[in-house]
Amino acid sequence: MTNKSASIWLVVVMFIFSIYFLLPFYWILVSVTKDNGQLNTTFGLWFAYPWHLLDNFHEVFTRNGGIFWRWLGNSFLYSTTAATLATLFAAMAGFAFSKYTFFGRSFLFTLILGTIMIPATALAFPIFLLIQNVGLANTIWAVILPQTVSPFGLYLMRMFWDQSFPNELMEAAKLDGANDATVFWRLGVPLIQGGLVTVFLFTFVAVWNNFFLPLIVLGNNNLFPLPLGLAGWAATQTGSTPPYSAIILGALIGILPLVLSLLFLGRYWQAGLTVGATKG
Amino acid sequence: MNRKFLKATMLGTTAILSASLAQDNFREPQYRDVQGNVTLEVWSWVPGLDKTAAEFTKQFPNIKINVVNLGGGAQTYNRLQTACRAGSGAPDVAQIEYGFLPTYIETNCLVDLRTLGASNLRSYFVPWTWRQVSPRNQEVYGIPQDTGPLAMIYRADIFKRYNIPVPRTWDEFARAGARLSELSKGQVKIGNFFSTYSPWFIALVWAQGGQMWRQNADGSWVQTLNNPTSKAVAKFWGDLIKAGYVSTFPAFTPDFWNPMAAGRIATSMEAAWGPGSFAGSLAQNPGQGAQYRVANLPQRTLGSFASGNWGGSSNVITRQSKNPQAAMLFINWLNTSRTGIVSDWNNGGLFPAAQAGLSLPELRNPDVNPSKFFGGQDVITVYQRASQAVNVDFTWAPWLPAADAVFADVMAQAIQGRITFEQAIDQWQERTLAEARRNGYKVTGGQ
Repeated sequence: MTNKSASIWLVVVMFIFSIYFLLPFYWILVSVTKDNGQLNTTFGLWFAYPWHLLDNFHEVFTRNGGIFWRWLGNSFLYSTTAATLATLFAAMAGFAFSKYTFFGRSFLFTLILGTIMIPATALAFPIFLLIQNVGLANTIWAVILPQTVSPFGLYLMRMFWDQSFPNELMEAAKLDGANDATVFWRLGVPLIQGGLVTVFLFTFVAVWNNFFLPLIVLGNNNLFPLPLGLAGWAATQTGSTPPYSAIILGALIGILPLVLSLLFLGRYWQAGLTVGATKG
Repeated sequence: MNRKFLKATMLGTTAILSASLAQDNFREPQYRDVQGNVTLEVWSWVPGLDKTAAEFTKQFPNIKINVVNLGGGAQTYNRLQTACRAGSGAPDVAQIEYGFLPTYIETNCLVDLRTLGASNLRSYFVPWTWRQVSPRNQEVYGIPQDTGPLAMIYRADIFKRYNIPVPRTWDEFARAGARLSELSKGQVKIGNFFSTYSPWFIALVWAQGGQMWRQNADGSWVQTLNNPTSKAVAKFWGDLIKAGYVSTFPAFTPDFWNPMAAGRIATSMEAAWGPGSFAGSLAQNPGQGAQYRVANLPQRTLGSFASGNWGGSSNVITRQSKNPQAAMLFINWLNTSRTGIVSDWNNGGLFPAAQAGLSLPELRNPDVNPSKFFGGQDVITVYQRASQAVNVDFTWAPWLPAADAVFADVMAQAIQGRITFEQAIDQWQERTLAEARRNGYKVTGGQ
């Protein structure tokens, strides 16, 4: 009885929260069907006639010679490459931290975890200098390389190695004559697949949404990822009004891959959030 | 050899003749090309600048322009600061708003353009714009690009309906406010106070001769945000707000555009780029029977005429540029040539800083916006007059962002009635002063 009423309350609360979180998304869906004038002068949460959805699509896809596709492609390139490398490195480092005992292990691990606490803005300047000095400024590597290390990914991977790959298995494999690389690739990787997908997703989304790093290291509109490109369109220059509805549509298209990844791979997200929680 | 020379001369003469015919009274300087092939990196958020730059390269094929749009002032400054501090990674040319120039002068990031012959260009620009790029009256740190002198956008239909004359002075403005409120039972406000944009308020004070900042010869600063003019302007608007004659909707939001289109606001003090944003934001939905027009900014007294400036920007050359000569040619051409000015107007709605640019017929086409939106009125001439009347002596300080943040805060308190508008101005002065000192500036308060 009490249980049932508690769950009703839970549903009500969750329902309210869902509305709270979905309302901005709904606003986006409504807004992409309007033009600037309607955006400014009609009720924000309902549609206005005539529809301008097709005009907005046209604007997004043709503005500046159709550069939108290029930005979208760049975002995919940066996110996929950086996330793949970051996952690989995190998996390897996590393996090392989990399976080997070496001098300074816990100190190093704490140190790496500590870097999570450093805000990205504080790192921006050193990264900028580094990129400048090695001559990578204004190349795709300036965006990709700094994002191939993920302390949080490392932490997750170590937890996965600890939980999903028993030390006994490692010892048994070693006894059978397998070297470390074989253990890692042949035995380990298949067992921690879930962890790999999780870390990949987290990094992918982080790179996809990263605005500041590309802002400070790129100097060519053709290399911009989507968020940076759209910001350029939205820049308020006195005397002209940005095509806001088209930009909102561009942003909507830009978050679709993330929404899809959440829908299809949602269980890995949960795995990422709860890993370590059960470890005593 | 000789014949070739003759032919070249003849061709040249014809070119000059046809050029001068096409340009009627338009005066532009001689542009001298530089040697060799050059690519310039330009950071700017002017819409369509890539097209304007293409026009430039057509004329000077050895200079290519890489336009980078980082997304507006805040982002561009963020990046530029980083590059200046790092000593590398800065572009050849950057767009900087007038109010932000002192920040970059302070960090020694910009080329003194006198070394590239900028002094000869002074006469091509409206005098106040030159003072903006040469705040110490010596070094020249930028070429003025676009401007935002103030005038008054108003709804002619509202004034007609209530049979109230369009105000020419601030006294008339206040009286019209009272009358409008009475006749419309408080439904229609005479104007709107943009409490979240200090540069708007500063422009109003500027128009009445107020000064906010001054730098001494030894590099120290004097800040007078609470000068008597500033306080008088704040009190004037504050009284109207308290009486319910003036609204306080934030600029550039539906909260402002909706009542504007609905006929609940009769005027708005707007910069020269205001008509463009009105047309861009309201063209499809101007409101029932709305007639938008532009008139001079209300004055202190009949017969006097002055204005202030809100917005606008300059083009600078960074000290990291490897091709300052070519960069100078580009920013000179961009802001003094007819092609550059017209292209910037068509693509980005830039209201020029160049004297000759203000008279261009291309800006006045009654069949396209913004003029079309204003019933075909020649709004440009109103703003041209305004620009000529902007007080020349006005300079900024490197901590403008701090002043801007504090302003929004104290004005919110004044609007809520927790402090008076004059107290708000005093707090604006004190808190901004403290903030500037915290950032290491030697600055005294003064009157």
